[in-house]
Amino acid sequence: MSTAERLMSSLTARRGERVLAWLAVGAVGVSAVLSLVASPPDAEQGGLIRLMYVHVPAAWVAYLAFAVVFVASVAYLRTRKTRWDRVAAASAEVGVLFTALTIVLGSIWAKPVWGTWWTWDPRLTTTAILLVIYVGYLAVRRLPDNPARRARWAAVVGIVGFVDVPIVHLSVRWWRSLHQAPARLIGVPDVSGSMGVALGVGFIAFTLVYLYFMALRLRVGRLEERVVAEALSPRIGQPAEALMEEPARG
Amino acid sequence: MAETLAAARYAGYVVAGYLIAGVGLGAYARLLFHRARRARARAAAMVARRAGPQR
Repeated sequence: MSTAERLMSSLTARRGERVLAWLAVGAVGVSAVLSLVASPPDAEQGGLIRLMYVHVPAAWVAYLAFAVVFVASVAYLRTRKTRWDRVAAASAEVGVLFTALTIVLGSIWAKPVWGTWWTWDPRLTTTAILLVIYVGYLAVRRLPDNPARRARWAAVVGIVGFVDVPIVHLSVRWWRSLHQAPARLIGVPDVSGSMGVALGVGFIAFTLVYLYFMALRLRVGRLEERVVAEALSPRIGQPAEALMEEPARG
Repeated sequence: MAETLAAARYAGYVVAGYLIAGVGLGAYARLLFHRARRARARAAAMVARRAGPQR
């Protein structure tokens, strides 16, 4: 078993899931206090800057989730192990949630700062396209088809769709944009002092929430596969456990 | 007075943002728990039906 698979197994064990839940709740609590109480208002935007502490980490988690979809899709196509397909499916679902959250939070921030809820700005437009791509990915996963073929097509969409992530990130540099530019390529904007600490803790908190959702969503995926295996078991004449372990081929 | 009103209006956007984030993430967690419970119950029902008296 590879290191990545071992790490995944320990995180998705019930004990790992519970530890992640408590870590995520604690980090979100600390992040909320730092963002809403300890962090000072911005010289230009006043208290509205507090929206940055949820909007930017949500965008980071969306990037992270789709990067995991990309890596898991490549791993699936190379190994054909269904566990990689499960990881890609779980991460895409969580990524769609965080992308939608990023857009909604950005819109709430944009209204008082830009004077509009939405504008067809390059960053906003490419982010909307990103959402559509991964909603499409989830739609591909629901097509009534052979599970192995469906997983293969989903992996292809997961790999091709990731092309939009660097486009979203660099859109503010490539085109004229209302959206402020990220100061560094790794995605951490230039903020310092207590604002930097609040933003850093926000990144950690949202990453822990992502990991917890992944652990939970992977367990749900296994349980839902179990239902399908139990339904098929008497028709195929094999125990459900054997059907769940069947490597995806075809 | 105008400044206070503007600050209160801006605080409303911040509160709305944090509420939406909290409710959105909480609702997704609840949905996952619901899906897990439903899947476990359906799998258990199928096993029980198979183990029951055969006609």
